[in-house]
Amino acid sequence: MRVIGARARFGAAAICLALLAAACGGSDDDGGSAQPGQTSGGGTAKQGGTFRIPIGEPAAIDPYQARESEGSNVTVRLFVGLVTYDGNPELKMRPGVAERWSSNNECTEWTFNLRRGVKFTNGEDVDASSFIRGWTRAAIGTAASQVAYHLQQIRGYKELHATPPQTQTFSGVSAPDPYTLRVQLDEADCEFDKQLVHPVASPVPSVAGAANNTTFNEAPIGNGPFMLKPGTKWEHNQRISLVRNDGYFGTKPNIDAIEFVIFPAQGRLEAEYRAFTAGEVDFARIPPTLFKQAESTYQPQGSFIKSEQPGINYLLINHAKPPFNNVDARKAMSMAIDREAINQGVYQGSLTSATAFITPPFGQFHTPGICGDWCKYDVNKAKEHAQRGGLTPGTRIKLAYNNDGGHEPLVQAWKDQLERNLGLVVELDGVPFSEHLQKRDRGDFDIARAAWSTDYPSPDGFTTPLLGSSSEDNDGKYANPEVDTLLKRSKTLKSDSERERVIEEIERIAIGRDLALAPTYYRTAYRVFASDKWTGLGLDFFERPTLETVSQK
Amino acid sequence: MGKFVVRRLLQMGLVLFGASVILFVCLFVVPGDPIATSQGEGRQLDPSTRAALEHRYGLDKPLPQQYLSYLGRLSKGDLGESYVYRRSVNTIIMEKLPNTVRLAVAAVVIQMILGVLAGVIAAVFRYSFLDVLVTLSTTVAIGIPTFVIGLALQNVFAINLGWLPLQGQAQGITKSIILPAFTLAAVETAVVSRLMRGTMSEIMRADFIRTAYAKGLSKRVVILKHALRNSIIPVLTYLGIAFGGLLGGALITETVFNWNGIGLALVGAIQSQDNPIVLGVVTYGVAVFVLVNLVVDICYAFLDPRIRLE
Repeated sequence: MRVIGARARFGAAAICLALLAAACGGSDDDGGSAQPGQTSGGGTAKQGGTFRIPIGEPAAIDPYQARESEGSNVTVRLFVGLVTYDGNPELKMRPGVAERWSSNNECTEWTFNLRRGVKFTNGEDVDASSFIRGWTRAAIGTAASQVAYHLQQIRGYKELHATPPQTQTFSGVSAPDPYTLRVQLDEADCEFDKQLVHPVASPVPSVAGAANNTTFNEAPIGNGPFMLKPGTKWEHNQRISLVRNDGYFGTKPNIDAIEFVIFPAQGRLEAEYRAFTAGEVDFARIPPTLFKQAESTYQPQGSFIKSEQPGINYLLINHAKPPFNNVDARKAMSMAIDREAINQGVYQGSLTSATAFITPPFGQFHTPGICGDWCKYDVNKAKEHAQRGGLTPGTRIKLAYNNDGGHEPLVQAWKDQLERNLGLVVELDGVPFSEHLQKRDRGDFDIARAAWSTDYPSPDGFTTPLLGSSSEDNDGKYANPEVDTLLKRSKTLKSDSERERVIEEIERIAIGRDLALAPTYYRTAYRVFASDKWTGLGLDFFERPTLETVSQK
Repeated sequence: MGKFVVRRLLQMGLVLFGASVILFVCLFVVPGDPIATSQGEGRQLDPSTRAALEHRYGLDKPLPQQYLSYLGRLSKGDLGESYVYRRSVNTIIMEKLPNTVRLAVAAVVIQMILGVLAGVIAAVFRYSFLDVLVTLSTTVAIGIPTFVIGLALQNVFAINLGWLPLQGQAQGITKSIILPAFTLAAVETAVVSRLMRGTMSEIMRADFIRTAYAKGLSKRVVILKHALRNSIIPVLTYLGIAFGGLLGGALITETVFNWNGIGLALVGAIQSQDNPIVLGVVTYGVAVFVLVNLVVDICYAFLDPRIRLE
């Protein structure tokens, strides 16, 4: 799970899930699947070619610290973990290195049976010890990994992750035999397998050493569909060159090579788009200001990718600050903002106004309209609720946001609408992202701009962190014992259909009735790609281009 | 001469020390949370990870102690490790330095050739059409902010005409360096040509020039050998100091053109509060500036034998 913030700008990015491929303008002839074992269109795709893709200088490409979109975009090409996800609407995991896996009835102990014959590109076998090694070196406190928390449910994580570490081994992970991996959890989680799609759960070969072995970060050796071009390393601030791994255990990609062209972080969005228009790269994000122009130019050519992704943008409301402990006051806020007008006026119509909390990419778990009237703009009703909720005109409220993400037009529009429609006095409080998070943590706000996404395909990545009363990410301090009980229960349900019902129930109570927070937009992302040369490109659930399926035209 | 160099080098040590104190204090006075900010997007750091990072970077120690250990490392030439990339700052600077040096050299060459040429022409043909042209265009060049010049050049030569790459270095250094070099050189070229015009027109009226003409020397010899040589010293001083500044990284030009030099690294590091890189790049910039000044001073002696270095 992650908060979307500073540099992850609204509308600046795009995703194209397999299930939504048909709706992805112009690229409806492609599979758009992230599954390493599939070829696009099921036919014989043309082989060869080097796909050039712009990225920023990653903080790391070693799986232990593949913390941002830049680094993980490279890492996932080099490593494949136990399970993979192909974007199916049932949110089912697909086999990776594990060919079968199951949990005990309580979902506290998981057993993964690994494929035999999977090798790292240096010839070393990928077995259970490769996973234990990878997870331990990432979770140990001295690694100071920022993504290790994806493994925090595993028994022994706390002792291992402490600073200084109280142990050197991961007590909850064991290998009864070389091709069986057993994982014990502190608490039940019937969706634990989903968390393992994160690159931090990758296997590493013995040469990887400890996390602070920077040599491994310069040229990681993995088991994925691609590998570093032999004889090359990460050329910092220049490029990372990958070639197809012909020993890959899954279906091999169609392209021969990937060239990650590294762009300086400053003005990168504009720079990569310009580089795309000049034909220097095959793929790019779109600067928000050029969105309309890009759409009208590239949509007709079939070079435009539009995709909904799991993230949500919302108005965070601080329940600890009266009158926002009153549901009517919260409803008044939500109904007084005109989502669609802001979408058109500020975002050139590039967003989708939210009518639910669990977003469309969660397939069966998405219930459109569950937010009901509270997500609809209605000034008169908003005024009624405000009166009932004790939100009198003239009330001064503080609207917190991070001022390094280009959110000023949005918060300004919110301010104007809340002042005009409810007569409030809104004070804007913009600080850089990390400070903003700290303010939210301290409860130093009345309302705030917020966004959330998840790193694994489970609605639990939304519900537990944002609605659970004991979650540290629940900055609005929403607390409802009924919801807490349901949340706990949802983790212990093995049956997807039962879990689906419970999740819907949670959403109905927490959003449809209590309006714990006010959903505003589903995160929609956009990209352009060189459709004159390539076909079969989409974006997966994790907002990464599907380089495993792209092929030359 | 030897004594002079030694004294200046000692002074340089003092300047660096002073700069390091100021910088160090400044970085810690700046509000914010470098550890959290440098760790970028995503959730807040868990306490254990934060503790591990603070320990790793010595931030768990009192400020004076942090400064002393920084100074200790600096004296050995070690600029520390970047918070964001967890790599040596020395390595990061060394990777980017060649680009900054290339750009600085290209810009100085342009300034020297164009600036001096324009200045000499303006001085020799005073109040002519050419002189007015030089005066006018330099006024304009000095007045326009660098980033505007950069964007204008990009528009004309990269977007409209498509002759040169817009940004970056993907299409080869030679082609890519032209626009940023001219952008970076623009303002200084104007200043140089004005300086050149000023000193040169003064010298053209000096007695020894009249003597030279009286001796029957040709105009070409008088201008090139007598006037130019005597009026170029202030220009060289100026260019030398400007070059020292450029070697410290051209923040605006490198940003506009995505030129992967240390200026760009500095801009990024300031935003992500990657203090070791900020400290490293600025300290390096101060050092190189002082060094280049020293070299300029030594060059005087060769250009003008009347100057004695004591």
